[in-house]
Formats: sequence, C-alpha cells, structure tokens
Amino acid sequence: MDCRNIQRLLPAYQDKELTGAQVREIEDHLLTCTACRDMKSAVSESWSNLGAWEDSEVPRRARESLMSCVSRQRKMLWIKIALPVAATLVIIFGLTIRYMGYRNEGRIQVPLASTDQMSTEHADVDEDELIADLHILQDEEFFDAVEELVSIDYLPLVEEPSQTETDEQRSSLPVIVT
Amino acid sequence: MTRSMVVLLTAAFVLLQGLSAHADEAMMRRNKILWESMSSEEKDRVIRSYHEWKSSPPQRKERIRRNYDTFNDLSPEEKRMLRARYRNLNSLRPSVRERVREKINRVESLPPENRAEIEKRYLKERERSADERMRHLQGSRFWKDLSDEERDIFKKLINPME
Repeated sequence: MDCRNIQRLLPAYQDKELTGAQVREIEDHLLTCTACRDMKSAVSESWSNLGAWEDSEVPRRARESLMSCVSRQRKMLWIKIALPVAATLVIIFGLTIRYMGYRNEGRIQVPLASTDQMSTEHADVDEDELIADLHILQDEEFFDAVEELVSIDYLPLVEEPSQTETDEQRSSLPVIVT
Repeated sequence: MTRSMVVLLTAAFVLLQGLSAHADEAMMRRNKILWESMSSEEKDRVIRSYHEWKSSPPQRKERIRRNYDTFNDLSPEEKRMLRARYRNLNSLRPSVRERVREKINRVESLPPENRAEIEKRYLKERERSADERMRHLQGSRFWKDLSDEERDIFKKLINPME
C-alpha cells in the first residue's frame, strides 16, 4: 500500500475497524514512513480531543433567535403559497363581477315612457344617459345646493380668529420663566 | 415574492374594476326601477331637468356629481338636516334668500387653505354639545352683526331640526 491508501485508512485503523492483515501492513509502513506517522499522530490527537468535548446547553438567546428565524422562514413559505392563490381567487372574483356587469348592462334597455306619445315628444332624449343620471336629475336643484347648504355651518367661524391666532395674541407679551 | 406582489396588485385592480362595474350596474338597476315607478308628470319634470343638465357646462356637472357623492357620504341624520335646511332656505322670500346667499358666498369665496382650516375648526365645534354650540354661535362676530330678523332665519338654517 502506498502512503495515500495508508492515510485514507488511518481513521478506520484508529477505530480498530480493519482486518488483521491491514493492521499489520499499516504498522509495518508506519515504522518506515515519517509522513504517515505524523498523520497517524494527528488523527490520534483529534480523536482524543473529540473525546474531551462535552455536551453543553445552547444559550437561550441563540435558541430563541434560531427558532424565530425558522418561524419567519415558515411564514414566508406560507405567504409564498397563499399570495398567488389569493391573487388568483381575487382575479376570478373580479372578472366574474365585471362579466356580470357587462351582461346586465346589455340587458338594461328601459323604455323612456310607457306611451308612444311620450316617445315621440321626447325623441331627442338619450334613454341610457337619462337613466344613468336619474339619481341626480330627479333632485338636481338640491344636489346643486349641497355645497352651499354645508357652507352654512362654517359661517359663524369665518369671522372668528382661529385658535392659533388667539394664542398668538395672548402670547404677545414676552414670558420670562425663572 | 415581487412577482407575487405584482400578481396581487393586478388582482386588486381587476377586483376594483369589477366592483366599480357592479356598483354602476346596481345604480342603473335602481334608476330603472325608480324611472318605471314615476308618474308621467314626474317623468316630464325629469326630462326637463335632463335637457337643462345636457346643456350645463362640464364644471357644473362635475360640481353636482361631487355634491351628490358628498351627500351620499353623510350620515342619515346629516342628510335629514341638509334636506330640512334646503326646505327652509327655499321657503324664504327671494330677496331674503338672496341676502342669505350673499353671506354664504363669504365661505365659498374663501381661498382653499382658509376653507380647509375652517372645516377643521368646524369638526372640533361639532364635538361640543348643542347648548355649547348655540352659546358659541351667539358669541360669534357673525351673530352679533346680524339683525333680529336675520338671526331668526339663520337659527332655522343652522339648526333646522330644532
């Protein structure tokens, strides 16, 4: 056996896992080869050091940090799965509503008036337009006045100085704090 | 992750489009029912409004649509209050109504930042009790400058439900 093979077998030799013939061959080689002897000493030393190691408790902070890291990874995994699923469902839902909207829009064709007389009188009326704005048209004057009606609440405040102005007036004299 | 976010944003956009179409469609359906339930006189009145509406400048249409949305966002009580205020305003003699409008115009002609500031102060004012608000109103310069007749009018306009 050459040095490479001997050195490869040294850990097994250390663990006494080799056959008698292999052991004898290695020991004969070690008597004459310094490099392999040094390697054998290094392996033996490592083995004895390993034996000296003791099991010790993982510090609490390190354990918590590791566990939170794992938990974060798990959450991310959930998000990675849930996000595309949610997005797909939302798209399907949105498209369904949109499609239903189109279908019904096509279906709503309201006669402007129940009598033919009305239809001829108001032939220039765009039915769809009128129906679309009916909520405003039926009370247009009121909706036109809403801003004005809301403004009535602000009238008493228009001529009153704001709180900040009042504070500024109050603090016009210098205050010396001792 | 970024890809998922893009997909989700697209999905949200599609959903909003869908909801908006759904809301429009619901409004159309409501309007259709409303239209069908109207009498011939009401329909004639609406058609006259429609012609006026068609010939209105886009700014007016935009303002009325905005007002409609503002009104819709109010609580039922606030809606009732505005309706009552509108009735009270319309019940005034035209000359008196014109005078009231001149005063209201003071608010409407305010620069946007001043108006925003007043709106903020009004929100604080609303937190006070009705009595406190009345005391505050009666102590204001606006109130002191009014004649007795105007005070009666504004009392009914500011607190139309009382």
